[in-house]
This record gives sequence, structure tokens and C-alpha cells, in this order.
Amino acid sequence: MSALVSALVDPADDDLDAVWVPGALVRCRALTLAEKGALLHLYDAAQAETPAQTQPSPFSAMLRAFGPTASSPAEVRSILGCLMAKGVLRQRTGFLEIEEASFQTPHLIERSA
Amino acid sequence: MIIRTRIQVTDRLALISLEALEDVGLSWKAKGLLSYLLSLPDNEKISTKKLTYASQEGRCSTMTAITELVAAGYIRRINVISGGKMSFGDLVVFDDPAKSANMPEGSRLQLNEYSALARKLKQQGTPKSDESQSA
Repeated sequence: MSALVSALVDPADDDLDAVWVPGALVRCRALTLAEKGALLHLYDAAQAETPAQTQPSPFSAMLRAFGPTASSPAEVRSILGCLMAKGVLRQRTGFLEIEEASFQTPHLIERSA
Repeated sequence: MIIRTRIQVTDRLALISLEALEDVGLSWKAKGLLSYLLSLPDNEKISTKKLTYASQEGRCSTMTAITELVAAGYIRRINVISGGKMSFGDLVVFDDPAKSANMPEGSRLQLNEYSALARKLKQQGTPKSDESQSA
């Protein structure tokens, strides 16, 4: 996920107090609002990593990276499960990975239309 | 209507402020809605019906997220009056909640006031692309 995100981010924008996310993610109708919110946090966590920490974070650390939110822990786990079921999020040997191509997969968008 | 002071979007990428992302008072649902709203063109007229269509959420769920964002200052609901009757409602979305302090929730505005406000807010708030990149 880190490599994926860093490819999208212009290094000149590193000092911005903001996080870049794919436009297709926020406009994807196949994702619920809460799922989009969760993915925003994942992008934030990935972009906050220093060059020395470019390896994917462990699953538990990634969960902590979501930080404080008004969503309950049960809701958090439920949303992550839904993202995995939709193929947007994958767990690989304890790591989380965002499948960005899924935001733009026509069948995924049409399925919820 | 979208009032941007620091958020810029392109077709491919959207920029979401860390302040909103790290707001402990906002649920993921509210953050997801805010990110969608900030990806819209500045002059987009926003309605609950349109927002409900744009995602998998039902009307009640969308309203809950809107209420959260109103309470946090990211959204103000306004009614625009024309010829003595309500012409349309609009959501005014702010990427910086401090900018919403001068606009009470549920404001009623005449159509000419609405147009003037839109021009004024955009002149005050919208940075040029190169300014936001170097901010």
C-alpha cells in the first residue's frame, strides 16, 4: 500500500496539512460513506510514513493508525470486513493493502447502482 | 455550493484536510460524506436527494452524516427565497469549519443575496491552485 500511495503523491506536497486520495474513491458508488471514511484514514496512515518506514505496517498497527473516531470498535471491524469482502482491502500475511483498481471497476460500480 | 480555502481537487486526486480527518467528533460516515462533497465542483447545487443517489446510503443515514457535519461546522443548510417563496435549498460546504462562523444554520437568503454571497465567499476563500500547492 505504501508504494501504491507514494506513487500518487507529489513529493513537493509533503508539507501539506492534508492527504491525497484518488478521486475515484470518493466518487465510487459501490462504497458506503463509512467505507470511504475508513479508506481516507488508511491513505493518511500510508502517507504519514517516513522513508525509513516504507514497509507495510502490521495489521494491528494499521488499525491503531485509524486513530480516534466517533465510530465504535465494532463498527470499525464491520467496515473493514465489508471492504475486504468487496475486494477493496486485502490482508496479506498480516498486512493491509488497498486495491485501487477496484474503485474504477465498472461491474463493482454498476452492482450498487 | 463549495467554499474552498485550501482543498483542491482534480479528476484523478482529491485533497482532504488532516483537520477533518483527525476530528474525533466525526464518524467515518461523516468523513466519507465530507470527502465526497469536497470532490464536487464549486458551483454544484447540493441536495439530500442527490447525495442519497450518489452512494449506497439511505436518506436517513445521509441525514445523520449531514447533521454531524453541520454540528462540526463543515456544512450550513440554507434556504433561498425568490419572489416571496422558497426557491430552493442548498448545502454550503466548507473545507475549513472556521469559515462557517458567519453563516447561521438554516439561514434564509434572497436569491440576489445568495448570488452575492457566493461571489463574495469565493473571492475571499478560493485560493489559486499554485497557492494551495505551496501552502
